[in-house]
Amino acid sequence: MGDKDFEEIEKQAVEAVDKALKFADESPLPNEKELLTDVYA
Amino acid sequence: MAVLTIRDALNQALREEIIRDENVFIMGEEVAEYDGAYKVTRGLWKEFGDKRVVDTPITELGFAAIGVGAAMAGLRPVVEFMTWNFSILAADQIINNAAKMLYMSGGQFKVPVVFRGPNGSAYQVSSQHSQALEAFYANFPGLKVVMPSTAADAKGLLKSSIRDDNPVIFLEQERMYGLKGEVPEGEDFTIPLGVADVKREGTDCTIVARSMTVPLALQAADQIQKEFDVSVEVIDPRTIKPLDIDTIVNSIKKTNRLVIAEESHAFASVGAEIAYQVMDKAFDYLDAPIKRISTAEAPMPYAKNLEQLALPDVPKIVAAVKEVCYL
Repeated sequence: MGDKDFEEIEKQAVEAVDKALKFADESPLPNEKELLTDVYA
Repeated sequence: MAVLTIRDALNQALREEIIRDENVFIMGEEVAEYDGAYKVTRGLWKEFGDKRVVDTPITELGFAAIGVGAAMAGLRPVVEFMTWNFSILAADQIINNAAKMLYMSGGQFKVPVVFRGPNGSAYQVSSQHSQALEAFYANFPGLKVVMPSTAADAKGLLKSSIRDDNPVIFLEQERMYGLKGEVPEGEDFTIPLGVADVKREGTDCTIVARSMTVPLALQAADQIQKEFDVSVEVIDPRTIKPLDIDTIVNSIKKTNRLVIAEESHAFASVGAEIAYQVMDKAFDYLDAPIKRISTAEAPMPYAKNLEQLALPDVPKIVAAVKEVCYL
């Protein structure tokens, strides 16, 4: 892998994190009943 | 029914589940070519080969992590710790990843992994190799904790644990691998997790025991019946988490007295939790304070006499029953 490949991977990682952060910021707080959801399958 | 040792019942469960489900595989130190440190995996590598029975390096954190990852990817690993004492090295993977992955991923990643091996004391293996760790693991939401005391329970509970979609802490007992009992045959035989078993019916006092203390409690119950004509009921929760508190409470409503016998240390133990839940749900039914027999509050000594002194035994359980029955 060359420098350009690493740069592309970093770019994709930053984009993924930015997208997740935007989604989290724009989402409402979870419903209170979710406190005990998905503790066990 | 066949009469098997607990060791062979576990082996039968593993063999049946490997055949039943192509996603099941075993990994751990010496589980393959050496047949397992305690021979629980005897013959399985020869029968099923390298992909289903995998020897690992001596790196508990590493192979526990592989187990968690494999489970997240859809396999059903059975990870053997040579003893649960060594699981302390892998606790980060068990507690921080296996127990929490489903919750932290919003339900996206199940972790159907079984961690199993011998728990508790053996014979003079001293402080670092004699620990009963059930309370430690039971404290973390996301883990199920299982402790069989008979060959049939060992087989049925291990099969259910392998089929369960949650990480399961499966705690065997080194002193008990050679104990024999009748074991139902066939791949359909399972025992559901979270269901206690009444090992001996009685009317005057309840003993809740698990793992190594179950046979001790049964001996104590027979002795008390003979000497004092007191009828003791012995309950084995079999699964520590989820705990079948209803079976315990229903017994106390009948006997009005409770003794808890456990191999772990007393402070913040499973016995302490059971005592709390009984107080919460059946306080008015108790005719005497709850008594608890545990291992002495000290690291396990190597000296034979001190080891015996530290551990629960039949005379200690008998004395506790006499105390709650005011004999």
